[in-house]
Amino acid sequence: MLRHGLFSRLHRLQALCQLHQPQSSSLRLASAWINPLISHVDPGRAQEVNAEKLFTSPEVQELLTKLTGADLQNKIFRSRRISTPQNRSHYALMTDERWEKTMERMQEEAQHFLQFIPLKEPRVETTETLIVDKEIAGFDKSKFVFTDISFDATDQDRTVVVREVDGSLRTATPEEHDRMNRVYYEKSNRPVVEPAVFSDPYLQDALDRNEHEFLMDWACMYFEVDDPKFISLSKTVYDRIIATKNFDSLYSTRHFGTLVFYLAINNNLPPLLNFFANLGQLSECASLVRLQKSLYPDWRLAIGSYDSDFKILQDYVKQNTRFKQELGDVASTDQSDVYGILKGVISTKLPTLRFNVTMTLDDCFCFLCQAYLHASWALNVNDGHILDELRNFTLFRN
Amino acid sequence: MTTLRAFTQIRFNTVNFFQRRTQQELWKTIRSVSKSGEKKGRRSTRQPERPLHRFYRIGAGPLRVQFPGLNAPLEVKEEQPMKIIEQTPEEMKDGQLAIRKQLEERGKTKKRNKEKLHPLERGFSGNQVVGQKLGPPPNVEGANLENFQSYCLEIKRTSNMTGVFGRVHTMSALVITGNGQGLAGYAVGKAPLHRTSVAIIKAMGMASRRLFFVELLENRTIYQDFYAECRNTRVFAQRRPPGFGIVCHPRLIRICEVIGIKDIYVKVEGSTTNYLALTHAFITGLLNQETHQQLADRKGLHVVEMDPNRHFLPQKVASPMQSAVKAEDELTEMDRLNLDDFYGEGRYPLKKQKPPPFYANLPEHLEAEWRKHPFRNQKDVMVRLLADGMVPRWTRTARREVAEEKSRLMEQGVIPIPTGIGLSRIIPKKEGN
Repeated sequence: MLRHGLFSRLHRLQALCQLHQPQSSSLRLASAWINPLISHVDPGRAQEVNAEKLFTSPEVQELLTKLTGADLQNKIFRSRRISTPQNRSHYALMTDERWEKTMERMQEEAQHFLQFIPLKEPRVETTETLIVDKEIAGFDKSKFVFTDISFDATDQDRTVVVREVDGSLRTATPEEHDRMNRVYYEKSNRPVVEPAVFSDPYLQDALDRNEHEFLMDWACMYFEVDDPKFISLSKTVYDRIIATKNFDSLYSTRHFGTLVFYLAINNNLPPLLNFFANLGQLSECASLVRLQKSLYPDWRLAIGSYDSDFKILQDYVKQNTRFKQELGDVASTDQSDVYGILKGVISTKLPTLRFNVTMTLDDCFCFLCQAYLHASWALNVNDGHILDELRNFTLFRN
Repeated sequence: MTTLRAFTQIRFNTVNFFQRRTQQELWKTIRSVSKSGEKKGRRSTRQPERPLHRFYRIGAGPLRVQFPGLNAPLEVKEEQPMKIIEQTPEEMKDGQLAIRKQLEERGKTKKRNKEKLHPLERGFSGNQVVGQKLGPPPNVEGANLENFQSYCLEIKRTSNMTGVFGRVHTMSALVITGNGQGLAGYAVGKAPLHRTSVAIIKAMGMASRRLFFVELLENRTIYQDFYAECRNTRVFAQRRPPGFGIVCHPRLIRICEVIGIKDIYVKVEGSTTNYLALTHAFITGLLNQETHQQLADRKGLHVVEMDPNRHFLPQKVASPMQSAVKAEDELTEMDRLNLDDFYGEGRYPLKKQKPPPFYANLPEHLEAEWRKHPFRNQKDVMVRLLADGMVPRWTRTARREVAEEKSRLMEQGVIPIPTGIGLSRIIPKKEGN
């Protein structure tokens, strides 16, 4: 009888809490992921952005996956210290067929390690007052916290309410909620005191040592993704990466997608464009522009369905003349921004193209001719450098 | 100038027992042992013969006198008369005790004769040479062996029965030498009884002339797990990851050091004290290894390494050079075998579980364990609190500082002096007294 009564009370309380769920969509401020310091989005538009929804849309996810890259040898499966160090290497005998199959399986395995961290807005800090019982005001000098530790309650949906000293009953703040979770269900990876590396000067030390990936992984272990501290920490790390142009530290890790999204949603592409251009990846540059245009669709700037990668990039540079300075990094001294990117692409691509087995020589030649035509068209001059490269290439081909 | 006369000893009846006998006779009186006593081993219980003449220094006495020709050069300059210096009281005291002191010290210094070796450089047991570093062997013509290191693995006395001499004993020494980079050699040297060092030197010389080369994986471990045997000794060696160290029989540790193996685990079964058989078995196993390149050529397949530190990402280590790589349908059952099972000849070392201690299930022990149970997390919490800086470190220095501060306050009268067991009541002195 008593138990029944207790349960029904608990359920009533739960229902009450659900009834008073804060309405997050009704009055929303600008996304936490829009940083006015690096943003080039006009403020009116920034107000409308729904970062969570944009991030989870399949089109964006696909583009982000493509942009993340998958470097098995030097990034995803590089030699790491693992918890069972006494294990020795295995050796096996393989045919060519078996080798290829194994490598394919490793590619799939790598995708498992590249799952993006969910991008969330910081959780709402407001609380709801459920009941005010004036008659028990001043019942004690301390607040009472009631926590639902029944079997089916998870850490996220657990009911936690606080009886204030003045007699009012309110839902717990997220911080109180976390503390109660920690009291009843301790997790070894979440000690009470926040690790010192998440704040300066130790944060800067870690970043100076290029420990970006380790730091972000640890942050994921320690914080919930919608914790305001996690979001501000991620933003700090990303901002410092952008400032030092150290994209390589997170490239081909699970955090790179978020970084790309952060730059795209702030409409600040030049640093990343320069990074990809330096790697000689024209298609990645184009994907980045596609991503940006899908986040902020505009019929005047839309991408045609038959546009080549180069055309997309070229259009982007034309439409954003204000980035001339930033893109000039690659563009060197020339008048056209396109030329710089193109030069980067060609100069890095050429040596790799020659020895790339999967690409036939004709493909290479087509690519180069196309590049050359675009370049000459854009520059309206016969550029000696590109011509030389082409000549060399044709010689090599013959 | 003092005269000698006052110190001249005047003797009466100078011829006594001690002066009538020679030194040898005198010693005999206290050292002599009868024939039957000697058989019973009483010789060792007697006083040793002390070289007393060594302690008597001419001219040493209350006054130090220089006698030309005895304790001073014969030609004395005429201007300088005989020199007499008075002794200080301390020197006089020392002089009387000099002999005793010297004798007492002799026993001590004898023990200190040998230099103390570092624990890592000591041999297998006591002060014995077995297991100590012996340094490089002498250079063989045309070869410089200076970076070699040698170890003696065994010294034993062997015997042989002959018709003429009866039982003839011989010293036999097993020595291994190597440069720590795969080059090594071992040999047994023999010498007549008690000529141990000769046996070792002979063995060292022979070992340096019979060198062999062992291929090592990454210059630190063996290529594959192997099984090898010699007589009743069976050896199971296993490849290990970097940083594992050498875990094996002490003699095998020395062999590994000399060859340059850094990570290995070896289990020895059967006779573990036949060191020659042990050495022979282990080295045979090492020499019978095949490298990855040889394996790839023999099998016509890629040899692929999968490192757990790289999430088992395959890396080609060797590919067949002579022939083309086999296709999947050409493979036999043998080719599909797990490589680790391939080399062990189907033999595995016996893995014995450590038996639980006798007290494991005693009620007292179980109760004691249960009493500890509430405090099982205490240490972790302590470490965590110290690491987070929540609790100040209660070090010796901190404790002293607190105590000093407290005592200062007590002296000033800020804190009352505690009335403990010895200070139950402090009765102030009356001013009148």
